[in-house]
Amino acid sequence: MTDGGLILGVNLQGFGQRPAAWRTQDVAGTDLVAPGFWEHIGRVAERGLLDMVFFADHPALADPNVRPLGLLEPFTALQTIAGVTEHLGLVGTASTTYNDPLELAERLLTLDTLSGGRLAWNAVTTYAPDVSANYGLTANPPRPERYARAGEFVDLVTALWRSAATGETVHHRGPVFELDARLEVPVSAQGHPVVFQAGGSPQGRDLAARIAEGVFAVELTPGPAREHARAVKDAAARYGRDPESVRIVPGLSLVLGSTEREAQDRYDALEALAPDGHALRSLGSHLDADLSVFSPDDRLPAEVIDHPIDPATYGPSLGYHETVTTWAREQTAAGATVRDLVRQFGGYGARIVVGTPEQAADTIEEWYRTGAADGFNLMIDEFPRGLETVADHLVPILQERGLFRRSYEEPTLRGRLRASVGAARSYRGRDTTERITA
Amino acid sequence: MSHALVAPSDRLLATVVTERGGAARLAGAVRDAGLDVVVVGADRFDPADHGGPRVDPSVVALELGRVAPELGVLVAVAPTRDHPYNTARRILSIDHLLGGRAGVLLGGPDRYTVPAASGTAWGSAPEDDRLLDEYAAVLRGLWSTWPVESIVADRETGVYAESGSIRRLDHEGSWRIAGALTSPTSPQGEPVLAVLSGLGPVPHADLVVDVLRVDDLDAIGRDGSDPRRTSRPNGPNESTTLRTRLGLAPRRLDLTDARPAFATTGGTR
Repeated sequence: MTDGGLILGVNLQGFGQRPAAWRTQDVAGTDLVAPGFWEHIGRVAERGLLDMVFFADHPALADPNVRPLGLLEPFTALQTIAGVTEHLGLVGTASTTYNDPLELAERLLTLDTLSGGRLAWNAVTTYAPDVSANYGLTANPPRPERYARAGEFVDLVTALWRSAATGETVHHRGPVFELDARLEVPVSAQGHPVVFQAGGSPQGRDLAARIAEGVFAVELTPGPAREHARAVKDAAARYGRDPESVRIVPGLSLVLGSTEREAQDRYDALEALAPDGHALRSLGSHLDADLSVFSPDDRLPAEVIDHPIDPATYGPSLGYHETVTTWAREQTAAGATVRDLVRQFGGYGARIVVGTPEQAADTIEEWYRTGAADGFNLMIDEFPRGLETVADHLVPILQERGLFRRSYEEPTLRGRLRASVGAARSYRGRDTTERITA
Repeated sequence: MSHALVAPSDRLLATVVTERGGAARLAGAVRDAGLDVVVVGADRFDPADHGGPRVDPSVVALELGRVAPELGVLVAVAPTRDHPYNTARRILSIDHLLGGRAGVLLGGPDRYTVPAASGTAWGSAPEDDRLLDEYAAVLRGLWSTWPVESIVADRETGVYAESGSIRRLDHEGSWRIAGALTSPTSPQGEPVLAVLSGLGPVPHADLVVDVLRVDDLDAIGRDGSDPRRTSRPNGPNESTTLRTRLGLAPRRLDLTDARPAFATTGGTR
């Protein structure tokens, strides 16, 4: 059976998504700035034939005792990984709020060319007050302003990338930027970096539909995930694009074990070592509510889950808020207590699978087959150990089921993402019974 | 006193990203000339327009240092190029990844930075050379905010870092920057902070540098004008930091009087 077109990335979150991952593995605290740590992760990801590794970004220091991560600027770590890999895609996040478009365009195209056409830029806007304080702002720019800037910023960066190929100077006159410039960076094997978008606000989804080739979505349940994916693809079609040219890649948290019991025990052990109240605070921030006033056996009142927010002034991600609110409403209606919610919120907004590789594959297959996702950005419990488990135990199952490649074919990341469109169509078009009996 | 250091042209630097083995070839030519430090990206400070391809200096510097463990790199940076928080973070990240073999060469004006690129969230980037020392001071301050020895990673107690020793910067000037930086301090204390010769006084700089532009692999070191060439008789040493190679003592900015970045001293339970 051939490649079914499933896209798999891995979200490199320090020592793992579990906050206590540094306490349960044989790692040194300073491994996060050591090239060997990242080189090993890159090699394992490529051994697992993954499409890409991904770094989020937060240009401000949060208390490292909560969860140590982000000790290196993302693109420098990606370049280190690029140096020991041949095929792996490299996705770095950079804010349109706190970068300069000319500097960013030149730097990213340089790295794209160096890596042989494997780079992608995840374009985000930034809402965090601690980041604003590092860039001379006392408050966050309001969302409409951030997204207006983001749209113009991304257009300008892509125009500059194209100027490297055409040799024609960009003459840009916009509300935010004025610029006459062209890049003279040698063009990369994929032309220029792929553009991803993350963020589920209406403005974010519109930006994705207009320009993104991939979307890092935040989804907890397949129904809404399918609706959101459809909405972005339909919107892309209205911009005159092939709707399938936008690949939808939600996060998926994994805590794997050789039996379900073992996975559950590992999860509980990791969470027992996590900072007190971490998941509760994370859930509360997405619901825009202080949950510490409830006892673990309480059920959340409807007015706490569903209180209205003002999109213009609510700081955090609207996409997360919508996804988490919908999920908390459903879970609570089904009888979940605060304790249940917190335990099932271990993905911090993403779907979590605590179980065997087969169970993870079941979730991946269901979401993929039904169009709730074109792939996943895996959020793995521990690095490097959990990634080794994924490469050696989950990937072979996905290959057996005809979902995932057995070798790299396309040399560039863009080529691979485009090839996934036809492969997915073919996979989803197959008769289900034939696939099961094959 | 100033140091004269070799600076490959943009055309040579571009071969690092376009040619397979390009970084090793360029680094090899530098090594064969008996040198162990290069400036990366100084063409942007050259009033003459040499034309041809150009690439991002920080990417090329990391690549050269990565493939050549015997090489130290100074990245050409103008204050107009990027916000100092971004610059501080990128340079310190590169320095960690190269085991303490990186630094910056501050200079300007940057012929590739277009002043009309307004719209930076932090306001118009200052363009005056007099602001070089403020930029230098901010880089140094940010580089010293998180002492690496605070990372104790004590699995028993759950203390990853003794966060009470992490300091804010609270810089107020042409830029307003809270800090701390996201990376802990460098293996060499701070990355090297050099300044291009002929610019105003920059008291925060470690040294002043004259660049020797070379546009031909065979020409590297041939004119013998790098005075350091004969001062390093034992050959390149991979474990030597850039500061040591340049005769600089390790240093950090003293931030003990600055405000703590976090209320607690570490530990989560």
